[in-house]
Amino acid sequence: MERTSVNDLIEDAGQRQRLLEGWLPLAQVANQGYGWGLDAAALERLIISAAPALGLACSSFEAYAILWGVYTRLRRDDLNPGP
Amino acid sequence: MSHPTGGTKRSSWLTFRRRLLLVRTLLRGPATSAELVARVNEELGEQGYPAAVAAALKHDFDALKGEYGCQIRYDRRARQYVLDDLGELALLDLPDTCMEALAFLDASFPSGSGLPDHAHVRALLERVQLLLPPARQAQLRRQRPALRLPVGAGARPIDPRVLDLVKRACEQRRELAFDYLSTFDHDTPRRHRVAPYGVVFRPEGHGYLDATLLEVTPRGGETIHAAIDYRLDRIVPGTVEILPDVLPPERIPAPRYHIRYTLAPQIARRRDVASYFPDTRIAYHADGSATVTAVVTNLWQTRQILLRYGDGCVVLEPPELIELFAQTARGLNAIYGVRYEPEQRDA
Repeated sequence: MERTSVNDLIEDAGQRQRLLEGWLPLAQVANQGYGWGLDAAALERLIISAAPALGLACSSFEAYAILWGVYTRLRRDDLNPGP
Repeated sequence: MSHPTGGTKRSSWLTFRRRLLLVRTLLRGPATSAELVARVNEELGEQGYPAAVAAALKHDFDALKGEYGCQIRYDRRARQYVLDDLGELALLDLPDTCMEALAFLDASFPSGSGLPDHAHVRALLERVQLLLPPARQAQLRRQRPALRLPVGAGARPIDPRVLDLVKRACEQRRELAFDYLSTFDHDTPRRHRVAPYGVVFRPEGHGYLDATLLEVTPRGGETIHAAIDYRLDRIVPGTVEILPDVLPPERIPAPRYHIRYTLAPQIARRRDVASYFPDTRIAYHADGSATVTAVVTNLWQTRQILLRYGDGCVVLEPPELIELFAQTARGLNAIYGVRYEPEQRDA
């Protein structure tokens, strides 16, 4: 059976909209609680980057942990851009 | 070279090891006397417990209590021994920074939160705390961390089989059917057939299935082909069925609404307004207020989120969202309006 990955799904504008709409409230709480100071565009980027892993989350706690991990990785990549 | 006391030393060492093994076994959890003896004998073999095992076991418990201050009690109902306090054997100590981290986790995962995902974290914390000396345990109880994880302790648990089937249907992109008890159903669930797209969690801890409604029996007020967030804990366990029908390549587009609302200066003047919706754009004004625009598909959720601002938020668009707020205002007025008026007159 042909399967479509999360990355394929978020090419679909409608699905991308729903993905962001679903996760933004939790991501915003993490943003405020952990003091990341991300603006709207950066939060959306965080969710899109975390989407494959967020799809595996089984609780809000796991989702927070995933966002934390992806935020840390994105921040490290921003601080140390590759060649 | 002979050691006249060698036999005694070896015997003392074996006794000490045996008692440590008892404590280590009880640290894993309560155990019956047979389980304790089996564990010790498994580790020490022929040098484990002698034939008169009951007397030897009692002697070891007495020694652990008398020499090390351990508190081990016998739970008669469960017929198990339980380690309540390690006494002098509480050998773990931690730097102050780690104590802060432990206090942070302790506050974030309070006992009695009822969430199965957290139960194991709580058990781990209690084991670690048991290993700390009494003074450090008291310090931990006094510490009140400023920050704690928002883990959604108020959420109802999600049936793991429901979650598993829902995720499989999303992954395989196949239709899903289940009985669902919505806010509008009194006590009889209705059958929903949906196109499932993913699971999301909200800050309060509830998990939702993001799906497009295909059919509902019997029909209610839902719009067919609407994008709906189904609360996972309201899907009736045992009724979930992955159907053979595969989803179309593109999702049926949900109606999109451009929303616009203003936030009063007391909310927006610090210029740190939160972005709760896709495509959020914020314009800050000279008087400290802000105008926010965004795009949403779920007006009910949008209202829930914006209600946190109370009367500091005025919705300007779309008319459907304004109507939802008007309904809320009418409901609140029905509850509080009568009480409010006499106070006004008294004032």
